[in-house]
Amino acid sequence: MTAILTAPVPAPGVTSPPMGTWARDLPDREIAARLCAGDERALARVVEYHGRLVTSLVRRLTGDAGAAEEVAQEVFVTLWTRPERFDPDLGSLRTFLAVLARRRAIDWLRRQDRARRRDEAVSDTTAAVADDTAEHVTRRSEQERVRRAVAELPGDQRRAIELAYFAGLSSREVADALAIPEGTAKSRLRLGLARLARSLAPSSEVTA
Amino acid sequence: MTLDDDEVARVLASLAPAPPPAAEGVVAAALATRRPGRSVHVSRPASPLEVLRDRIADFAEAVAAIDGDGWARRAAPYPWTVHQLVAHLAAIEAYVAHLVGIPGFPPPLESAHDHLAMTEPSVQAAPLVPPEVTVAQWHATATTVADHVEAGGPDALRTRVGFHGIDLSLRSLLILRGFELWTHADDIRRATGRDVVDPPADVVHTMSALSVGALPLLVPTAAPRTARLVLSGAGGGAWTIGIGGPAGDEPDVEVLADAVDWCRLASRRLDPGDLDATVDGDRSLLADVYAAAQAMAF
Repeated sequence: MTAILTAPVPAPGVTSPPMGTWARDLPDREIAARLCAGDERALARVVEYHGRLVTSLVRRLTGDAGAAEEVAQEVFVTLWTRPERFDPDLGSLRTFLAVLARRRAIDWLRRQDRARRRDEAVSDTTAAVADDTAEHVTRRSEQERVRRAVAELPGDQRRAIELAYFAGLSSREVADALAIPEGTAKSRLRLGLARLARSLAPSSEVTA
Repeated sequence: MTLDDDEVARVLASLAPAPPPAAEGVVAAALATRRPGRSVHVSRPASPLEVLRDRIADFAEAVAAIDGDGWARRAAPYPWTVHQLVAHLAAIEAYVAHLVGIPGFPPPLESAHDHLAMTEPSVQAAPLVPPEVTVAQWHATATTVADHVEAGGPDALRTRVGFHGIDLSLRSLLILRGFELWTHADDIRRATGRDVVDPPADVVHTMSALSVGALPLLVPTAAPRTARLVLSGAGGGAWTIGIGGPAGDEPDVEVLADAVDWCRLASRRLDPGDLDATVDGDRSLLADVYAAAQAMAF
């Protein structure tokens, strides 16, 4: 009889392709099962599909392109090492990643703030000379205005605005993320936008 | 001039989206923190000896709960009673004890190449002794085998044995023994009106790995093919296997199924048609994969 079971057990995942594509969309429930099983192809798929969302959200929250790369990697590494934390019964993967990205971005900002305070305590107070181009300065200024305005919103409105406009979530997804009715989410977004409009208005008005 | 809501929305949206992260770098960083191919619930796969001892304990528990007429119930899918099924296992344990060289266990008298026929004399003689005696005989021999293998150290697992004429490593044989004990423990539970019990995740993973690892040897193919199995649940994992050659970059067929279900399919306690699986790719190759998985069941 032919000898069987003589081959060594293959090391899991050793021969798997680094990137793979499926001919169909993967439901979040299936992605969750695959990630828990250690399917690295599913992870690659998630990064391809949701990477831009995560980096865009982080960049808008932090204003730092380097932070976007660094924090995005943290987000996906967290998803891979603790995939069981994503429960498809509680919301979409997109929402889960957006909420996780927001938390990690806030953590990054806090770390930067602590580092800056340490540096200020031991260094000269001479301001660093920026070598940005005028365009870059203008853009950063605009972004900073918007970020400050968003930061000054009431908490409920701020969170809704961040999820909808920085993370690109629909009002339904914002509602799921915040565990509120969709109507309430829409109301918070409307009120938040109206408040931003007032706060971002030019400081002087031309009167006829 | 104030900004209306739409204009504010445009301001917010006009902030340029950041480029996506370099996916390969992100995946590589992630894989450095958690190895691929193993369920997040398995910190360390059970060793072959751990599989065997775990399944011995489980089978002992399954039979300890039998009382009254439970012993006389039919143990489907066999024509035997529950008592006779235990006698079958006791005879198999004695055969394994002979194979690993434990003194006092002679070779089988006949039909050594036939897993069922070999034990028929013991099965037919079972009613002559109380079930408790048969259970004690099985348990004593099973634990003697486990103790003997453990005393031999890690190198002993590389020993080759001819199990029903099939050349196996002792490592593989121990895991196969675990498979059989699990399968028959659940046969007995079903026969006596109880729910089946899943093994711990680390045990399921080791069994799954053996089952998947054997497929390249069992799936017929005229040309190199690639199959990927992603087994979900607590004991699952992910494997890409090359059939008839090295594994390719893209699988010809991919199956996502529960790991415990996969093991039950491999033990012929779940038909392929009843396996709840998500499949992509070549269905005819899939059928060959299922058939090969079931070919390991004696």
